Amino acid sequence: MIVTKRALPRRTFLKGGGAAIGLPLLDAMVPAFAADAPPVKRIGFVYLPNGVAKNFTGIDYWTPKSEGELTELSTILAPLAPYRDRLTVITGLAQTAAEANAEDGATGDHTKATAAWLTGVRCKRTEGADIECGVSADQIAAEVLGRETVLPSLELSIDLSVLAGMCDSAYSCVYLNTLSWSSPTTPNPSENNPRVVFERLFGNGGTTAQRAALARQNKSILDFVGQDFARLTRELGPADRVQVDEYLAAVREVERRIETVAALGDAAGLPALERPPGIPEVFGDHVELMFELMWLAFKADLTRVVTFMLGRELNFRTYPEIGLTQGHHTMSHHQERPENIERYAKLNTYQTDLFAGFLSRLASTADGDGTLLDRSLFLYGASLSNPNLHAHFDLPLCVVGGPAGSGGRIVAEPANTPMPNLLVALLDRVGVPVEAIGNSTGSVNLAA
Amino acid sequence: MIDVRARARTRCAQAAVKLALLVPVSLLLAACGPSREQVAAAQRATLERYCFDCHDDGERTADLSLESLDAGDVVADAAVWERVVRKLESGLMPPHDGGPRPTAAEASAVLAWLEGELDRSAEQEPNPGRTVPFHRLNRNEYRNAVRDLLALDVDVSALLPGDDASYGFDNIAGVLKLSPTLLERYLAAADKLSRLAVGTAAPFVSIDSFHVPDDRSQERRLPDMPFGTRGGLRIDYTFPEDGEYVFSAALARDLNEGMPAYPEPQVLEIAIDRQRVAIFTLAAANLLPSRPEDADDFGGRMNRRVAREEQQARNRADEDWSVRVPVKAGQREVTVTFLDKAASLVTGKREPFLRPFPRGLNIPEGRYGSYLRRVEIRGPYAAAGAGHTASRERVLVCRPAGAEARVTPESEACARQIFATLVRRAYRRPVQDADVAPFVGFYRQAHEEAGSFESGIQVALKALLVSPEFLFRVERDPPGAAPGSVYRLGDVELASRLSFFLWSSIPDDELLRAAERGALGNARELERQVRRMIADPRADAFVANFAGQWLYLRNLDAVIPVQSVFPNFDDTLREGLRRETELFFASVLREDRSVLDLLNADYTFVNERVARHYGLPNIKGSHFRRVQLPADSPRRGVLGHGSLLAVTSHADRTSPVVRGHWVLENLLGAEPPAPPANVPPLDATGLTDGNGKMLSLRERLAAHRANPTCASCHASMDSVGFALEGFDATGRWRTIDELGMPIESAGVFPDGTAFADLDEFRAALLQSERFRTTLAEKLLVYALGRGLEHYDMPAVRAIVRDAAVKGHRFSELILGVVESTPFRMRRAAP
Repeated sequence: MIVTKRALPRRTFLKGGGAAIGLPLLDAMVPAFAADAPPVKRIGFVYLPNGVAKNFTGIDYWTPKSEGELTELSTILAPLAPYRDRLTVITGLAQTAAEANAEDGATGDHTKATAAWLTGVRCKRTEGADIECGVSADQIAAEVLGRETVLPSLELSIDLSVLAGMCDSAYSCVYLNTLSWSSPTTPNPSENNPRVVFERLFGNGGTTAQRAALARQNKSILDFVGQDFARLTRELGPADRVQVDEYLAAVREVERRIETVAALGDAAGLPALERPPGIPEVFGDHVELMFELMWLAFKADLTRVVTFMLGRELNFRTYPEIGLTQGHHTMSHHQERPENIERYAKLNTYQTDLFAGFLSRLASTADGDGTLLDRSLFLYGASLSNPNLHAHFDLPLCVVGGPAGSGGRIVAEPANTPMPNLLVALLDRVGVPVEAIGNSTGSVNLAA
Repeated sequence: MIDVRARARTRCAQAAVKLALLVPVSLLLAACGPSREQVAAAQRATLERYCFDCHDDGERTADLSLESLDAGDVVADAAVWERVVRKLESGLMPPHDGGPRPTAAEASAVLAWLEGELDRSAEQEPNPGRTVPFHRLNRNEYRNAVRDLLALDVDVSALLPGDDASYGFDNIAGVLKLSPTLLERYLAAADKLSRLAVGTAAPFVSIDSFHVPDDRSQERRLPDMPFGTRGGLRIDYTFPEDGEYVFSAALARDLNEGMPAYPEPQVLEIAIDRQRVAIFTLAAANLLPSRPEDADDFGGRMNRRVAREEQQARNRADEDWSVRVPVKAGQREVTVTFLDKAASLVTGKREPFLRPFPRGLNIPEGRYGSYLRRVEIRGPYAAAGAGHTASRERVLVCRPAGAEARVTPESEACARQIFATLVRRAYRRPVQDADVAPFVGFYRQAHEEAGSFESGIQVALKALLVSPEFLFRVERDPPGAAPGSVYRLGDVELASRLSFFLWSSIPDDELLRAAERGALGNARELERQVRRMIADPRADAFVANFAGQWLYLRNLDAVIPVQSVFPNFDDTLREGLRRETELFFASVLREDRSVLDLLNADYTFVNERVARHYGLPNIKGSHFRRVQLPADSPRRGVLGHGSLLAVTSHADRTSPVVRGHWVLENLLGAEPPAPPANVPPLDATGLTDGNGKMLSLRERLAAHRANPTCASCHASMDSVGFALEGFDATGRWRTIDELGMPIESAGVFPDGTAFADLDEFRAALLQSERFRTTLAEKLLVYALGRGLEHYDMPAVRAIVRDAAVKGHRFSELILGVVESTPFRMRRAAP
């Protein structure tokens, strides 16, 4: 049962693409929390493509110089200074499931890095129907944290245009386009259009009665779709039924979402909403708008689990707004030259700046007795370290969020500790204990 | 390139030609010479001589031993032998490492033997493979299906996510799955599209915003815009209802987000279907005199200034540039563009196509006139009903007379009639009452609830648009088919395969009727339908989707060359280059030319912008026209197209690696070998050699290849890519590279064939059967929506062989695909 209370300002503005979006009645939908709720109950995974500005011969713009206590931040992490006491930087982790092996050689480094980040699983080298990876940490979290929310999880991205034939050495493009896998064979597509995200979160607008009628209508159409799939199953042989079973599960999941919305009733009521008009042209505006939607989703408790890729591995985006006119992937191959690495650090710092802006929104938004940031935890970092080498070890990773004083440290794990150990620790922090994820061998001790 | 097979075939065929003119080539080859057993023994001896050093039971290099295979029963190990065929045919094996290599005659004899055995077996026991039973329409197909079903052409990219690609295409059945999120999106899309089609009011006002790409030059008239205008934006917008709509426009700002100052008034016109609905004017600026030292190439215009207060006022000039006007429902063309009163004389040296500078750099504004940044359309307000639209005509084939608050027998009969028509087209098959009944049910309930006949139709239509048999192409095994048996597809399934192959859409009425009466089994009727479909405008989808992905045209949007190096590259050029390749590919297709023309045609399509880029004189205006290329032009065929050359380059320079990779994969079907584990870092010494001498790109890549682990891939990729070095990263012809070094375009194909320049490179490609084979493979992948397996290779060879007899005409290749075993047949579930 969700109790609601009024907490949202009457009018909130989303900036982006030059359009201001009014959310006049959002205040009706902020739920209050039961006293025994776990202190942290939201989790986000923010992904940097193409590694960060560092090499292995002395240049490192990511790793802070401190030991133990986090007294000094690095260039890239400097924007997180206001949250230093809830920031934990973890070193020594490696994504062994993405490393070269005898079977697939060093091919598809970028692909394997993306696919393994939240799964700890080596994705299957295929371009065909038999794509296979592993269940991702966000989806394990969503199984528990997503039960009561409209959307069990939200998958966001910036680049989505699929480049013809430009994916990685005989790996399906699927692997590059999302971090989130609800089963080893079911990737969750990510979304980069703010308007579509908005509509998924808040519906198409209209009055409460109209939305209720629409929900009923969608429900009965889905019943029909489910029955029709069942009819087709009967016409097909048993070998073909597996595929249809998967689709039936999709139908049931959408039905469940509709019911959840209906159960929220007026709480989810957002009459006469105006939606963001589309994808902003400038990278920074786009990212800010997506973060704004993430903030709204957390604030209104529409979802508690988010993945957000600040770009796709191998993307060739340029960033003229900060004076970077080479393609992202090209820049990441810094050729070990100091001036190139410094230039790449500029991009990574820009990314962290945008992330810090989002954290500041969370930190200034009340949630129960504390703030949204107190009750949210984020993994921020990349799945490659030195991008020039496609290195899968010494990964740049940090955890930020939770109550003040819960961080402020550097945790130095032994070299080549499996990165999924950190995922296990993160899930534990949000009250979703798991034995193992992918190739994890234990858990990272995040306790301050 | 060496075509090892051609000679053997000719020789063999000449000997046999008098014996049996009508016997298929494979049999011909088999009929030539000694007995099968003798041939097998002789060819095995050849293999032993050249291959067993590495591929015997002892060494098993690459996990392959040919020693243990039974040469007398090639079919038993068809998968392995097909790999051998490919390696031999492309000249990749035996390796060029100084060891013994077979003579061309020896290699061709082995190939003739292997292919003969494999093809004969395929003829006797066809193996069509199995396409998955549920093949979801991808986003393009969905859009086209809605267009053809409902006469409603809506850009669905805002409604549905893009599709993942495999095997180079985004219509691969195995990847097109249905997730909960996607199903939600289909529901929302169906809601919107069904309302647009029937014209029932949405519960809310919609807002659509359209951005002009930042690097689109707006100095001149753009293609498809009214004469006497420059720049701006054209939007094909579907207005859901008769009603009032608000149109607003915003101008582009300068580097500091200020409104640029121009010495003449800038007049923006908004028009619907070319009827003006509003005019907005940005007043001429009161320019302060510029300092003498500011007078420059740009006519001294750039550095003039306006007074601070005036500038502040200017910044707000377009604040209220919006107009509310009544519009009739349906699809209309909205143009928002500047009136080009006096095409000012360009006095600067700089080309007027220069794209705007990025924000954040301290470079002054350099445009000659205002640019449009964004247009927004909101509505409907004061909605006044559905009006008359093509979609309503299509959907509402009948209307019940009289009051319609409640369902009547008459209205229900009408709904049944509407859906009997729609469901047949949507499901691409004949329908029974049971297929239509659910939709009549939706209609009945929604009519009763909303008290309106049309609302009932809209809701039922929404259900149709998410029904599994619309969203998926379903292929069922025939009743009673034995597990794993092979059967011929029915005409109705074949019609869908045809229409999704050539139109990326559902069959039209003519094709569906032909299928329903079983006419597609007739080879002549099938060919007639295929030729009709190629000629139909809907086959533009084949150009956009097949060529768009094979030639990487879709990636053009992501091509953003560094502007300090390529200041002339902008969106107008990008669109022009795309258009050139699309028009060119379509002309080879529709004029039924030889597919070799794709690499060698002596003509192309340009407008002024593209012609200037290519250095072709005397082409004026923004429309595209066919031009004959000079005899010595390097631009023959797609290898000279700026589109392809740009998408295979880096932002700041060419990439022989990427270009070579593209040629190998897409023209020669030779996937470069996988890099080994532990790839060492690129040499950090970079641009100079040990003595500080600048290295050319070729020399840097050579240094890279000196490392044996790198060489395994790069030797083939780089040296093929060098052929195109005469074109810079945007496709301009050049004689020196980025570092001022002279261009060398000599290189070597993986089979060892050397070429001295682009002409020799192209000539070798044209000679090679690998190009035709690769194109046939790509077509077959695209047509089937699945990757190819070894048992598909006989079909590929048949397609190439049959088309060769008819001059490699494009239509013959397509007919070959359509008539191939995997396209016409299917294996039942195991």
